[in-house]
Amino acid sequence: MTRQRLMFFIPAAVFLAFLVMASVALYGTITGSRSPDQVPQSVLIGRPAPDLPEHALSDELAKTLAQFRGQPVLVNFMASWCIPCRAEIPALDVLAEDVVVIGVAYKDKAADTRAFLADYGNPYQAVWMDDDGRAGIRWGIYGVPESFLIDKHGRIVLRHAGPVFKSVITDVITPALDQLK
Amino acid sequence: MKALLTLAMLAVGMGLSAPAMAISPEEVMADPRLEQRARDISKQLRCLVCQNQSIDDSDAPLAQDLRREVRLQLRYGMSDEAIFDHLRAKFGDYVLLKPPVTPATYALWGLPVALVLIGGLAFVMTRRNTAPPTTSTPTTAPPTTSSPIADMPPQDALKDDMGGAPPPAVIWGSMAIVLAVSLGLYALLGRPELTAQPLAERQDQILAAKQQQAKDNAKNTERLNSARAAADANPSSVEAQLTYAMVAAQAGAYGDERQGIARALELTDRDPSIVALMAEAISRDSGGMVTLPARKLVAETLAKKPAEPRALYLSGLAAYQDEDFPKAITIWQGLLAALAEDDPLSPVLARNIRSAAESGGLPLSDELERVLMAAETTPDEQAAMITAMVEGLEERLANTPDDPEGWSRLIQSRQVLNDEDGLMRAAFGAAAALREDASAQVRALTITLERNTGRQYLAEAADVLARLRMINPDSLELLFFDGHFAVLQGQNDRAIDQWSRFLDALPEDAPIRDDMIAQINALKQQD
Repeated sequence: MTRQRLMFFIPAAVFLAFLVMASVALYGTITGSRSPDQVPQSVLIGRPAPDLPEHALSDELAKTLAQFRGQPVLVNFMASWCIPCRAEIPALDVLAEDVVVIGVAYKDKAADTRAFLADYGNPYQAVWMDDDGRAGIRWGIYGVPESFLIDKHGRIVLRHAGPVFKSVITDVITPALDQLK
Repeated sequence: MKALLTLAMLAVGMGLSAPAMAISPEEVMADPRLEQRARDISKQLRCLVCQNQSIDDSDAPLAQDLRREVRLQLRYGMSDEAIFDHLRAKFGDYVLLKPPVTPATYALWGLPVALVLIGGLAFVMTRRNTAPPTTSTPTTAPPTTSSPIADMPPQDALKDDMGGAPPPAVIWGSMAIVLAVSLGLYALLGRPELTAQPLAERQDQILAAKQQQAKDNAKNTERLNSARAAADANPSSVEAQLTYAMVAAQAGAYGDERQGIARALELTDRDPSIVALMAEAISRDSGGMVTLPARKLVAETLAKKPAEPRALYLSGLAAYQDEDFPKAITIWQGLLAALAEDDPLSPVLARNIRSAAESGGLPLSDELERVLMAAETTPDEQAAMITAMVEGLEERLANTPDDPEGWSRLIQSRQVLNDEDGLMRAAFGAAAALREDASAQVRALTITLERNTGRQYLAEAADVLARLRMINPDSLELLFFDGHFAVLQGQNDRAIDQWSRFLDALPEDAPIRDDMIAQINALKQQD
């Protein structure tokens, strides 16, 4: 008798546990704390920054990471065809007062990138052209915009997927920069 | 022939509806062995942006890049393992569709095994338990009865199984919980107000809207062309350039808009207000985003003209887009206070301030809430609101007339609404209700004077004068108004008498003395 009761309650308990798990996940989705779009942590953190693309947008914008060794750098993957990339330019411009910001135009045409910088402003000290997306694979990006913070030794300390808004600077990038000091 | 055409169309349709071929021909490697390996590797790699597709299946650009990368590595002569490691080093284990066994995935790999074990155990336990409890036969039955049929539980045991089902309370309770949770979820997520709007039933509407749009477009283009011609014909007229820009903005031709403003800027040597117009045009062209170039222009404007409304609006919007909500609210609130009440920008600002407060989780003060409410309603709506309020007040005062403050509010409101009949009704009503109050009497008479309505209200005014005489027979006001109404009724002698007494009682330096003397003399001459 008690055993048979048990045979009912065990599956019921398992089902209930499943329901609780599903509810937690659903609650997270509704409140926005759990997003199916969230990108897993980059495995490149703590590793030396991979190579940038081979071609720059112009000779003045051809500064390499090695040239900025000794100071923090933000490498920002962007594209003229990417809408959120437009929204992050003002925040990047503010960030550029403290940190060297380097742009990598991901799968973009040089003329389009130039027009983009003219329309939305240019916070970048260097702009490299990743025409075929190979640099994107080297850096393990999922899409644009995506940004990497590199310390003075040339190691990646932070990856942010999605646009850099001012809130991202205050909540994520500035604390990381403070830790580097 | 027709059948052939149908067939061809069918083929085309099928081609369109079939899933797009993920691998494009130019990707295929010349060496079939390498190509096979590339396909096998691709099947095990996740398309990171589609999450549950392999890069072999996916048409996403990132999948395409990864396929090309795999083939490139194969061409370099790398082993399958090396290629997996290469990509794992960039994207992590997540790139592998089959997760490796690591401490983080023990539960993932172990759970199915554990579930099979638990299930098996449970099965064995039930078998033992359902061994016939009604007979005295021991569970270790003699070999003769160990046929499969004998191992089946007897009928009574099955019945006993049913008896072991949970009590009804548990079943009903579970059902109630499921129902409650479902209703709760519906309350949280349900959108009953979103009803179906089948396209098929809205064809006429859609067609009409499209035609209207085509008509509007044609009209806009025509207006734009003539405005452009006018601007070209008057290259030194700032107004012509700005009209051109405005018409262009309405037509959605933002390039033209910027051109017109640029010419006006040149003509006016960068007038700050026109700089702000340019900032707005640039933002409009960028889908409403206050871009860096627009921000520079806003700063330029505010440096020369700190109260320029357009520049202030845009700087608030820039703060909003930076998620600096307190700053956005401060700027917009200041701008709202500086605008005229009926400025068309006011409701927009009010909406923006609310939205900023909501996004930033900031509470609105009561004072600001009142300002926003006032800004959100149009003048007509405000008048309607006041009228409704005033009518309520009038009704209340009819029931409880002894309320001097209420009467004052009613009279003020009627004055604001510019409702003459209502105002006179309120003024005389107040005088009658507050019969002991001299100031209420004087107020009623003053209003007839201000509105020049004494002639229509002679009877009421006589009552008021009588009451005023009862309260204070020697007051200056009584002398003056007595004279005034005497004039209105043609009793000039009485008027001259009253006003002369009024004049005698007036201080020597009263400013109205000369005026009164002139009026008395005029009356005397009429006789």
